[in-house]
Amino acid sequence: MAPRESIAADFDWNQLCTLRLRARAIADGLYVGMHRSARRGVGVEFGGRRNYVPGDDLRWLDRHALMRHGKLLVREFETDTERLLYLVVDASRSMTYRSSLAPVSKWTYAAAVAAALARIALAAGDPVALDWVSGENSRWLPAMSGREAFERVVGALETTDPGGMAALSSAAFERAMVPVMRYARRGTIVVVLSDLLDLPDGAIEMLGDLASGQRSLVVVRTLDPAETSFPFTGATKFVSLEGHAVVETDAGLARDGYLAELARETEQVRERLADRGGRLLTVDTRQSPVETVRSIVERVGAARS
Amino acid sequence: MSFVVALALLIGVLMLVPLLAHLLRRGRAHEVPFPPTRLVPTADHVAKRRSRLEDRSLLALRAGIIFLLALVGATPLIRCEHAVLSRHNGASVAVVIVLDDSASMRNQMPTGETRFALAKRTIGQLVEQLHEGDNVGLILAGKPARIQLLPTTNPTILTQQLAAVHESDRATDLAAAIYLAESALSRQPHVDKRIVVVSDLGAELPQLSPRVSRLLPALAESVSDCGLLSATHNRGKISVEYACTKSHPNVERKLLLYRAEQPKQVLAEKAVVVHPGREMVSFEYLAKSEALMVRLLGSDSNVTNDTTPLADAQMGPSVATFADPTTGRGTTGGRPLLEQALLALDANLTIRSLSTVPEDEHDLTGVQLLLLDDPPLLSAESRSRILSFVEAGGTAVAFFGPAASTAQLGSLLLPFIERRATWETNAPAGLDPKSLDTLGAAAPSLTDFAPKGRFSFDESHDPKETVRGRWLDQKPFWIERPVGRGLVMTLGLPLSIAQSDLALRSGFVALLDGVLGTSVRLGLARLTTVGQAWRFAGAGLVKGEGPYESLPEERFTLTEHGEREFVPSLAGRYRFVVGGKVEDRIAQLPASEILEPTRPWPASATQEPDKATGRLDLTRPLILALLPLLMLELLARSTLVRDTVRRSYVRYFRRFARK
Repeated sequence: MAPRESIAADFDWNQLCTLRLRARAIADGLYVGMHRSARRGVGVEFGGRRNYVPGDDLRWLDRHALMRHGKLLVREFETDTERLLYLVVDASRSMTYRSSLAPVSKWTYAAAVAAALARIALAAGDPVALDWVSGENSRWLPAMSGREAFERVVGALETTDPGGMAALSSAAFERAMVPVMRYARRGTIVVVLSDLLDLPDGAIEMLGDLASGQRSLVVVRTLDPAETSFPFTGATKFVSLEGHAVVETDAGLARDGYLAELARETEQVRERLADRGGRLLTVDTRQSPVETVRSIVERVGAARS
Repeated sequence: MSFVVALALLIGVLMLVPLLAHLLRRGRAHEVPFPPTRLVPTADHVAKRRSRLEDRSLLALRAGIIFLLALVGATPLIRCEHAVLSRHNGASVAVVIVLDDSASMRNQMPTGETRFALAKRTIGQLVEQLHEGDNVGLILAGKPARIQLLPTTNPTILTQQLAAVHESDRATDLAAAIYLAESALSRQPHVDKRIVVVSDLGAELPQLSPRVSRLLPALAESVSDCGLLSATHNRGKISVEYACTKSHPNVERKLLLYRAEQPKQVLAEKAVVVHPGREMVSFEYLAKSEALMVRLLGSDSNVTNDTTPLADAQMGPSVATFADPTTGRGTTGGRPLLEQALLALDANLTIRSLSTVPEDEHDLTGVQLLLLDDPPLLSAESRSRILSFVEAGGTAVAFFGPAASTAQLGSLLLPFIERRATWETNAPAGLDPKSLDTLGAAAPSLTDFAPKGRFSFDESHDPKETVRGRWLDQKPFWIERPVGRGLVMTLGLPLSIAQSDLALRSGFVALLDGVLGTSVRLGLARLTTVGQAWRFAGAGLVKGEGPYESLPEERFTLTEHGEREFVPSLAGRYRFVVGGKVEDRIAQLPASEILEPTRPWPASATQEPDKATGRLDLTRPLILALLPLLMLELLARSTLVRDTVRRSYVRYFRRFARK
């Protein structure tokens, strides 16, 4: 199915659509089927050959290759397996930010992308779980599948009010990650949607730890266009939404320094995640959510290979 | 404070408006919520500086506009000291500028610039305003007054000539300079003729016509200065004469004696408390006095006159006198009246008393002036000796009386008088003051001295002979005749108080001063004041070294008698090589240049300096300066408006889209 590239531009989906419709619109723009199994072994579709190692099932020994090349090769097959999609959404106060350049707030964008991912996963028959970083009225959703699961995910996203501070303490952040570590079993796909701003010390390492145990981790850094381009000029007093950081400066002069610092920090996060097997995707809320979801799916695939 | 001044000040206060706006604007930084604030660099000081710089350019632009507008509005009130050459109906003018280059113009103004430099700069401004058809000339008022440039239509020449004029230590001769300027102007065809005097008015001013005006009245403001006039070494004693202006405080200053080539090695020093006026101090110094200098330590407005060379007493004017010992003295005895009068004139005179009329060659060696009071019949030797003395440049003066009446023939009175002359007992009451114009204000004192007789001689037809004074019956009393390089003067009355009160009258001292001045001007004296010519016998090459530099050959002019003449313009020691013989001469500073008797500007001349300086119309240059500033302001404003409108549109459409 051809992706519908222009779906975001066709209408102001933030104002007119409910989250359900938005998620469907986004998910429908992509091919259905989020992943193919990385497990090779018993299956239907041929998945290649590899050298025989003692202990392999002799049923899969390729005798034609043995006769032709004189080597012991084992035939492998891919098999579709059930994969848990674990969504971690940052609902801290900084996610509510929306500049004049952005069509939606970061929270709205992240929620839409999360719902779309849930729909795609559920459509593929994979269970979906939902967890939060900060947020008010947020509900943790355990792994579940089926049509009802989508409604519950969307309901949780709709009822959660973004707020609170992610940077309160590293202990609080760690507590938020505990359900993920506990319930995301081997082979789970973990997608974190956050702006990665004002996180406590060691938060990136904690996120990176989610990639352990053969889990696939994709961290989607969701930023506002103003945060990626810094369009301010003149004498400006910047006030952080979390914490008490206040900086008064000449925005025009500070632009280069800010962008360099942002790039440096992003690269640092990317390296730390990569060290632990995770992937980082940076998006801004002006980007097409369809493209964002596609990119997430591609990175999930890359993370698993 | 007048209402107009208050209004002008109020307009000036408007300049503060953009400054206040700038300060108010600078203090506002709009607040923006921004999650990644911690990533924004905290370059506060840089930001503020940038803001300050940007705003300053805008502030300067707007303040400049207001200031220029205020100036344009206030143009009729502005009195600009920039020299302006006003014109009647735009007609061309003939201007002769009288520039004072005397020593007093070397005084520094409060700004640190000398009066002379300021005068030259101001004249330069005046020259810039000359139009085609204007004539301009330049006269220098340092003594002797000189024509530097006759009126010309080419102002470039004047600029060149002005650049060639330098400060000097001359006395001031404004009267002669203005006379020269009047003469130069009289030949100009222009209707509008002006004489612009640029001087500190340190000299007697004549009756001035309304066409004379002056620039820079500030030049005549008093200064605090002390300077050395002379330093003489005589028989182990050094006498230093100095003068201070009225405004100089009574403070202790130090006199230092040192060698010219070793200024830091002090040979002697003397502390003196200087007072306004002219004073002399002495101290002992027994060593030889070759090429020594005296310096007055301490600061004042003119440092150039704080140093003077030490002169030997022998260098001063030398006068030889002969007076009858029985008739030439006063009733109380003492020196002859002639010598007493001479001493009253100048303390530096060397007076040689002769017991007889000079006959020997050595009697007149080194003498510039010979004064004979009631001489007897002149012998052939005396006549020959006096004639050779006069022909060499000396001045011989004879006050004839009854002693000469024994001469059988007038020819025996040669070289003084060549015709019949007899002693008459019947004489008029005195002299005609109109004929004694060279004596100035002292002339009327000689109208009634009631002589008991007179030495009578007729007027000569010799065109060289000049009558410088007459009896009331118009018979000649004082005649002057050039002989060779020198002068002979004959006066028809002896100085004996038995014959008349002539020697006791102030007019006599003035007469003697004039005679002495004339003899010095003949150029034999080795110690003179600046501006008096030195003459060197023979037209041969003369090399000279001035106080600061070698003297170029063109400074030595050739006189009508075939002599080389040099006029020192700076005070100090000069060394000449004439015919292989080295000769030192010293030019001294005129006392009047330090004592600074500044005269008031005469009522007959143009009183308002505005005629020369005028009000400058600044409207045109101000408008020309204002236009580009307004253009810049409009440009800045349009850019700001465009940005504001664009931002407003964006906000409006976004709001509409959300709805």
